[in-house]
Amino acid sequence: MIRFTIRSLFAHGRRASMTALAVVLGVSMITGTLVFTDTIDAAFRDLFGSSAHGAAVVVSSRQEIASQNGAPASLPASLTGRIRRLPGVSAAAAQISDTATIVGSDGRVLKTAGLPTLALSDLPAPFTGLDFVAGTHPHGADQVAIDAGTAAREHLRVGDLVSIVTDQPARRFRVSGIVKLGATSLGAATVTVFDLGTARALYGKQGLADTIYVAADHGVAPRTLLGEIRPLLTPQFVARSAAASTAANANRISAELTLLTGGLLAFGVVAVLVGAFVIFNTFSITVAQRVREFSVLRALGAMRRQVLVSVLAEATMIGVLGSLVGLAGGLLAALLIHAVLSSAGLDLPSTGLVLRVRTVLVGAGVGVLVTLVAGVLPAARATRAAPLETLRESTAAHLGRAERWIRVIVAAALVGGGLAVVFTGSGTSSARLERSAIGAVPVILAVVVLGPLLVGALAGVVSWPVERGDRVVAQLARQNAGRNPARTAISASSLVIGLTLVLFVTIYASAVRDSTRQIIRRSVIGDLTIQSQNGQSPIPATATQAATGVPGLLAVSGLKSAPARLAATGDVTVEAIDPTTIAQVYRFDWVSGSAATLQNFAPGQALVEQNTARAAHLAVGDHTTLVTETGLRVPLTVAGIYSDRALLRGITLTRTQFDQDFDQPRLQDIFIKLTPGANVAAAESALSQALSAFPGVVVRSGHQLASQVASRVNSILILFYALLVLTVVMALLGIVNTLNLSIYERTRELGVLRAMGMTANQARVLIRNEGMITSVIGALVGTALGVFLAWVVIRSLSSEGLVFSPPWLQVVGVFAVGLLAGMLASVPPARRAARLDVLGAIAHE
Amino acid sequence: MVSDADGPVVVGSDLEKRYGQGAIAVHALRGVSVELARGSFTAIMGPSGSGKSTLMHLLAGLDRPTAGDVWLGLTKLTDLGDGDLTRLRRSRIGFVFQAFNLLPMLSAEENILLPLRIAGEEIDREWLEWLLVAVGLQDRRRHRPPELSGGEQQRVALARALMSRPAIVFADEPTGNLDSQAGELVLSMLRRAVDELQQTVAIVTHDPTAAAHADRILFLRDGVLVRESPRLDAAEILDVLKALR
Repeated sequence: MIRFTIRSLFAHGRRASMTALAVVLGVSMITGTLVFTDTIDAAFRDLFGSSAHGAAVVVSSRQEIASQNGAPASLPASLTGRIRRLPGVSAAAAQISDTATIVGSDGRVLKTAGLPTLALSDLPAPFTGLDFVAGTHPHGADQVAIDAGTAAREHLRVGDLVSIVTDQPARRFRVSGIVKLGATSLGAATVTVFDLGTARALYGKQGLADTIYVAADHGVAPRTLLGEIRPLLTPQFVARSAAASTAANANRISAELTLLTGGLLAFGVVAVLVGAFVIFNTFSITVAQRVREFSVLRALGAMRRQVLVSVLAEATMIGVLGSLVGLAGGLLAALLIHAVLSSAGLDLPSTGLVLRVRTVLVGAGVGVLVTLVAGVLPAARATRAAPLETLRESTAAHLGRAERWIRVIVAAALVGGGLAVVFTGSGTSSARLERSAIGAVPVILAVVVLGPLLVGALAGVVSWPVERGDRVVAQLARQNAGRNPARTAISASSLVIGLTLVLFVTIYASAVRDSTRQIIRRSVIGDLTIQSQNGQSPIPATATQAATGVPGLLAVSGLKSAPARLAATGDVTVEAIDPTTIAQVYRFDWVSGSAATLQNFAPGQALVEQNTARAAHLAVGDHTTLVTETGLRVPLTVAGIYSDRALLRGITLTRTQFDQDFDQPRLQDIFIKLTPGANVAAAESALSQALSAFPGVVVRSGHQLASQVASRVNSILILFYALLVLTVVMALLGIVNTLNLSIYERTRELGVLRAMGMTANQARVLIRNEGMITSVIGALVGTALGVFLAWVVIRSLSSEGLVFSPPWLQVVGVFAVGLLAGMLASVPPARRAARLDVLGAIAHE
Repeated sequence: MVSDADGPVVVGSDLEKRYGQGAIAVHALRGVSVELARGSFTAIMGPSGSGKSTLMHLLAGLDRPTAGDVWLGLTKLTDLGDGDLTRLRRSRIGFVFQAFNLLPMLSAEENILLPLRIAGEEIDREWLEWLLVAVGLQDRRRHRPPELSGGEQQRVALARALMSRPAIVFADEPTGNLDSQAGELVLSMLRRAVDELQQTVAIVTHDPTAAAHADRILFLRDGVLVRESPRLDAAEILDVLKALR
């Protein structure tokens, strides 16, 4: 039988290769996702690993909380000298690390898509974390070294002048050298290097160090040094071996990227699902084609088991081969994802592609397993019939009455279960969102289960418009599509999944944007806001002084922000307000509290956003403890609870308290109220003028602020779209494959039609119509499902101010794109059908 | 259907068909000339590989000869492009295949009407009814092919071939997949079409009983027309075939 299997594989090379293609596609998607995430992870590890080159021990402040905008506490520089004098230490050097933005040739700060904009001080030998590839180390107050990637993008060479914003207003520096960190490309991240004295001056860190690198004498273990250094440190600082420090830094960055990796993982799951559909569909078609072959084998005396084993063996071979090619394809897919993201403005650091054993196991495992299931299920069904019964030519699967009922019941159960998960219980909005996502899965599955029934019902409706053209061709197409509803349904379902997700994300994001805009319009009563270009990076405190000089300002209220952890629940954002001025620029939406709460707001007290309060079970008067980035514990009493999902989203403290416990000199936003009757436009331009020394710091009107905050959702959207587009592309390749196979399966039928006088063009239209019916069904169901899921989820979050008002234009656009793409997918198979050789086709078995 | 009312319906002259080139070339036909007269029933016979199917394919415009010409009435098929040939096939040529080749998702009636509908032509309802009665399927018209017996399916195929009132019906081993009783029924129906409708029919067969229904029998061997005979009975045909071997 094994010989038969191999012969059969070779004899039907085309069929086998199409099945294998489906496996390749599925496995490529899965491995592509995994390779991509692993590569980014490795890139960050390499980046941080390289910074500790030459060091045995690294001393830094404790960083308990993953955040990009946090400002770790600095060490006293005197520590460097004390460490240097310890036995076994050959060298110790202080480093300043902070952030600096580079101003491009167009006068605007470089966009880094949220990636780090590091400012580092140079290190003396033997510390070689910074690898100078051109020029020399920076010396003196006017010199800077920049990373090779930025230099290449901005066409900067040694000796050129470049404008950089540090904690000080923008200033020109001369490029003394070009540096690299490790073997990694930084992507859109930037690195600027100053000498130690300059860095201290720029950041006001005289007598301080952010990191101390320690090198050991020959033969002295890092452990020994750690034992000596640790007693010298106060609790907010920590000494680690170089390896441990690298790992800690990389983990911190990985945690920051959880949104990205989480999205990619979700995409991976979708990839597995769509890939599995494609494989399953393709294999069930090829097995259905061979029912006759099986019958002959059975008639010749093959046991049912033997036939099944033969299919199993064939599926294994195709699965393994397809998976191997798919792994290679996955490497390409990873490059593709990177390219797509960087063209969308998110140029992530990268290094050589990382292919882990886990990736190979998961990718190939899914490929082989799905192929096996997909091959054996239909074969088992086919061989169950008496041998000769299936020898007769037969119409393919129409659903039996019982099967219809089973499908309806299963689907109802899935929908019921899914909705129950979505609607039961309360909790924070993120918990409810999570439940909604989990509840959505059975609902999608229900549609897949109902698919064959829907196809039957929809095929008639959908083909109505096309039947007005060449009627008979259109009717044939409809009958072909309805001939095996299960197959058409699976073929369409990959498109359904893609469109459902795209639309859900679109509608949900739009609801979030709308409600964010509304919250900001309601709560920000100041006239103007000063913040960074991206709205998220903190701005130098010196910008406040520049602003206050402008005439006509009634109130200037700065807001600071830092990450922290609430002992009971987890990470929160802490905002610091000035209680004396805040009331003039910001209106609290009190859940429990009043204007008096704000008047009496003092250090030791906290105002808590209602979601945080709900998650941490906090009520007014309760005591709680906040843990700062450096591990400091701050006891607080809840003074009031308010609602704000847009700006002050966690815990709000007084500036006095904040400055005492957090090391964040910079401001997040500065809200400004003008004197009554002042000209807003004039004040805005005066402020912009005053802030001209700070490129990257902008003045925004209330409307602009709302748009800026609302658009934060967009950066996440771009990523999702890029990935979902890939899913849709895969789904379309699946449709091409299915159509090709179904043409192959019907070769003789098409030949007969052609012999009876169907023109080549009619044959082409026939197949195109079949593809169109499939994609219209897919697009319709996908759109309906996406809108429905968005409605369910948004409803469950209505207490958050989310309102279901889909951007219909975009919905229609997405539907149209899905439809168009589906039609395009049928072009190549249709061409193949038109070119069929009539005689050969009639003789085709 | 023009002025050639008395001339032959189909003419093939000096037909050659060669597959491949040079030393490995296979000559399926080596110069065969035939004329099929209006209202005639011709059987083309010969052992396997004699070229009988190739001849039919060339005459029916399904394939092109390497050399020689085919005329259908006043139309020279060998000059036509694929589009014109296709249109000619659907309006003037009917086919009956050994494997029935009905579309499984269409009913018997829909299968019969399919060629006309592909061509976008008017449907003559009376003619359809007459045909359905003639092939004995007036009660089975709503059935789909899988629900019909082999004989019934072939009768649907026959009605399909006749529906467009073609100049000629070609049948390729029409009884090859049928038992003798069902085969006999199909052949007698072909005979009736010739006798009552003056339909020109040509069948390719290796079954002497089938060929015995024809007015004229062409015998091929190795791509050459070796003998032509008027009506014979099955036993006589068998003798001729034996002699050819």
